[in-house]
Amino acid sequence: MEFGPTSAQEEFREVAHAFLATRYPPERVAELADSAYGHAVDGWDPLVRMGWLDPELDLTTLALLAEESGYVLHPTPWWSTLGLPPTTPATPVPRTFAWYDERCRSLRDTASRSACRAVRSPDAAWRVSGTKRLVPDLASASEVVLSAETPDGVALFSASPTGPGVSVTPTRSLDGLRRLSRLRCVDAPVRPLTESGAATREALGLIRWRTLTLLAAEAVGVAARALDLAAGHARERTQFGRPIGSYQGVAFRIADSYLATELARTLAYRAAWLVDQSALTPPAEVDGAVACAVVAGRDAALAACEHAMQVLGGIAMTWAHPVHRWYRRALWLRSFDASSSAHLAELAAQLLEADDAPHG
Amino acid sequence: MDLHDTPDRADFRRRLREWLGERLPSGPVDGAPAEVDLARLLAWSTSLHEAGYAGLTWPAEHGGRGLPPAYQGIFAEECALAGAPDQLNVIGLNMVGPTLIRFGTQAQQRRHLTPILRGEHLFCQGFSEPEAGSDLAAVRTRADAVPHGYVINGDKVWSSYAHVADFCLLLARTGEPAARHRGLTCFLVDLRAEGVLTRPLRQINGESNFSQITLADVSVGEDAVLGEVGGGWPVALTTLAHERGTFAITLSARLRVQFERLLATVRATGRAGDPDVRASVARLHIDLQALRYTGYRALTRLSRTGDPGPETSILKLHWSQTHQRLTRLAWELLGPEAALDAEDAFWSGYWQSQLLRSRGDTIAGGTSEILRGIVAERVAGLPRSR
Repeated sequence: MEFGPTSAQEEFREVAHAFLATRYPPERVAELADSAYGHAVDGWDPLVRMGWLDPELDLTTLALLAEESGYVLHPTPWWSTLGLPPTTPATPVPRTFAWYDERCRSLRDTASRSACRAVRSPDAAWRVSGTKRLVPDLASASEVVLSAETPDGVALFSASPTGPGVSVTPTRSLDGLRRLSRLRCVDAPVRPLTESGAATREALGLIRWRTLTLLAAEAVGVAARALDLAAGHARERTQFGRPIGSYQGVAFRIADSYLATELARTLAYRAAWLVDQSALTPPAEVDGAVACAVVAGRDAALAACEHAMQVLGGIAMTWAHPVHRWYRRALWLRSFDASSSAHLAELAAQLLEADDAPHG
Repeated sequence: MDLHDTPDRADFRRRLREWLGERLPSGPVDGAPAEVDLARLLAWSTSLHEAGYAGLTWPAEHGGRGLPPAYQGIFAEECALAGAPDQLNVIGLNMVGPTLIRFGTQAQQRRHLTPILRGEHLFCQGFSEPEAGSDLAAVRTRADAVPHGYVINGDKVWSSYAHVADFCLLLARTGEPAARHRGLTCFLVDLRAEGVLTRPLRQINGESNFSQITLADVSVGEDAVLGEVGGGWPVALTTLAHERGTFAITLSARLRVQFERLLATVRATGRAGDPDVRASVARLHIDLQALRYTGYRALTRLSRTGDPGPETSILKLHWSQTHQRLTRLAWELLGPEAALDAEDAFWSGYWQSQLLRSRGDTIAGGTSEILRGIVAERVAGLPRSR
């Protein structure tokens, strides 16, 4: 039993932390959030150089990077890209996954239904028609992976957001740093990635695990930053002649944020490790660990931000103070894919219906 | 990062599991655990020692096995999961022994260490007092120097196992009250000495697991002083710190068994289809996983750095809150019959008793307020509130 990042993983994290802290101070992130584009256009190449897109990286390391990214609100499409398994040969371009549509509202269902149709023309080329919504980071992605129904079932395809037959419509988004767009395909030529059936199910299962685990880890980073914003203010701000952090009403909120953040961090690491070990682990165990990490991570992020806003007081209500940027991200994380109630229902079914499942 | 045991540890766990399986009735989860009498508890301590499971982490030269803390974690976990009886001398083995090894004289070590391992010297702890609860430095029990020793007067409360213990590790004031923690000294007191009176306290669930100890003109020799005179505070802190590494593992393993009992109760009461119950059960499961794996994280950190790190401060806080929610949910599952008690109630009143008793979880061993204060000051770096 060695529960903790290895020294190599920690080193990777420290380099990422220093890089992100220098490059993305809150003022720059706020500027980008309010800009037309919502991302740092020069942000991608340094990540490639630092090895973030290295196909060898395990999910535990990526979870540490996700944590650090959540801490600064790293303004590049790193999450959308890394949620997708690496391609072979490696093409380190920003990518995103389009799955949400009129027939498919949950990552769980991606393998069984889609409102988009894929047909193979006589010349053997595939074309997709249909509309995907809520596609994150689409404006900055060079490649979009999408699910579409073929006559034999759902399969995965790759398209270019600027290709023929593809149109991208940005939508107003609560989180200006992770904007959502609509993707419309009309007989758009696409490249097939997986055949329908087992290969697609397996690929989508892995995408779901990776995406949700990185989301949980990012939530931990968001919670950690909110905690630091609150603690920093509580140390400096004086009222009634004392720093407000000396009042238990303030201090206990911060202690509770710390508690929730540490517990969520544990669960995110555990989920990442189990996804890495998924070849040797019963899928129900990985599913359960991912659900625990998502529920705890989202709760921790939201609660830490809300505690931080209360501790910060009136200044937290201004556009100028950065805390709302993290709060918006916490809300976005909360809204993504299945609700926490759905995750809880899944866990309850594992616990109460499967008698031979490991409960501990 | 590897959540599996190393081969050596897996082997240790497998042998221990077999050993426990031979000696204990199967699974404790289908009902309340059976009551265990004192004679059986004593016999259990002896058999643990004979099988080499006492003093796992003590150095070999003091009769231990010199194993890393991870082994103590495995031991605590497997015993709890198997529903093993309490280890009567848990305070001696996990707290007093390691403190004696660090601060004791050779004579003190010779007198106590082997008997602690064998379960012959049972220890309790005499720290808290009626007027010194969370504020331990307010201890009033006095030890006045006389020729060749000290005379001790005062009251100690909440002392677990005191009704069966032979000795007490006692914190008493040898200096002025104004000196606060600098005027304190630790003593090894024979509870059979003249002037010692131990009275069990009846708890809110009717059980008596801890006692009040009254000391009236109790004479002890100079050899009863553990550590320096006036140096009782660091000795007491060491005692408390020795618990930190693996105690959370015990707590979370016991909670896992308690959770199995909860699931059995959900099924037995026909509430498995209730969406509110299902959501509450799932939430408890998440909190339990978080507790369990954060415990492993702290233990890993302890093995790597010698310090279990700031995670530890939250484990007890989280455990106590989770256990309280669990017992409340289990009790509520009983519906109107939850108002019954003892032999007329479900599982002979197990959940009624656990619910009442669990209110102490957020009070004993550091109140939740004290623990939050520690987190705020030492982890978040906030100024002191007092």
